[in-house]
Amino acid sequence: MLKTEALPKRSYVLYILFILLSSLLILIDYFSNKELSSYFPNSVNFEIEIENSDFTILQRFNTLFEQRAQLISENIRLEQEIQDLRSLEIENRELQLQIESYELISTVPNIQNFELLASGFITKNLNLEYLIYGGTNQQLKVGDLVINEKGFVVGYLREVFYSYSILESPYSSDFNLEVMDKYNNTYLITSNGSEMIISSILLDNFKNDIDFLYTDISFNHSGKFPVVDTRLINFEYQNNQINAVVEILENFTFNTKLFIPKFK
Amino acid sequence: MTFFRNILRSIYFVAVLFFETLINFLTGIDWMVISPFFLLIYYISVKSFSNNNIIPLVISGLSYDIFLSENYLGVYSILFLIVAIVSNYIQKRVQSVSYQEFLSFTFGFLIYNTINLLETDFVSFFISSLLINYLIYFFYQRTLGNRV
Repeated sequence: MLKTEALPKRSYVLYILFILLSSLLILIDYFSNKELSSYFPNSVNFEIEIENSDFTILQRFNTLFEQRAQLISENIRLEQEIQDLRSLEIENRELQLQIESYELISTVPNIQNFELLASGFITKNLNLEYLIYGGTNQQLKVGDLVINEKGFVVGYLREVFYSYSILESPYSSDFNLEVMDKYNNTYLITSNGSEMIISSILLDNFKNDIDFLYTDISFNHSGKFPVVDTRLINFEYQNNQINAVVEILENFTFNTKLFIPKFK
Repeated sequence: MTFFRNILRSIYFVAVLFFETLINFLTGIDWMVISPFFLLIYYISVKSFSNNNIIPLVISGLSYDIFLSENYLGVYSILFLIVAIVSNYIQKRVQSVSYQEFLSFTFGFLIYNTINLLETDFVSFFISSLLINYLIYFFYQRTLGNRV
């Protein structure tokens, strides 16, 4: 017990002795006018002596640093240039794809009178309806025709939302489109989901050489676009009434290009 | 053997002291100071107080006086020795108080900064430096435990 009490005090003795010793050093230094404390700082030279020949080396170093700085700035400039080129390449690729998609449809007669809004399939909902890009943000409205890259009508818009719309296609049993042939006979196209059913509405001047059934502005359609190629269809003509059943062959994929024509 | 151990310890102490000046120069902060050398003195004073620390402390003080200050030779030696004694003494004296460590740290740090006592912003400088250094010491203890 005694030992633990006494130990700290005894251990300070040597510390105090060294404090006194240091005090003595202060006194000596004071009376010697700092001769003692300034001895080392005065004798040690921290500066590097530079000879004339060293200047050349320094200049070389300077040049090296300058070159390095130039290289760095050049590198930054090139990096920026590469980034710009990459973004241009991406833009170019997108434009090429867009051009390709317009190539076929540009051959459709009178297509230049229309402004074509490019679209595509988003998905097929649980009601097996197709959702496509474009909505009220592109001034689309219900009933607008949707055509493929060959210029054939694939459906019309049933519902239009802000950025997407629901396409009523022949795959829907609700599909219902009035069309006309070149002799102004009118027809109604409906669907059972796998086949299109063509029924005449009004036959004024029916002839066998009709080639296509078209949409028409008289039905509030945006223009005249082919819907069905009738050249290979056998029409049943009975009691001044024509009926035909056409199998739907076209398959929609994500790559199917769609256009919504708007009259200019 | 003791001689070489003292030399090595002295080199270590001087290196830490010079590192302290360097780090405070590089950080360039005026309103506080980071004091690894004080932390070293405090650590050895409260954890392993012995006469073996006297020579390194004196040599550190002399080195500082010679190379880094305009003081008379021996001023910082005395200061470092007093810091060591006071830190150890308070630590032992007020063992019943729960914040004894912070108390001894504060007193030790106050003595360590006596040279700056007449500075105009000493109070704010001292408080901020004290807190920063105590935090460093606290986390050092937490991470390394009682290892020396």
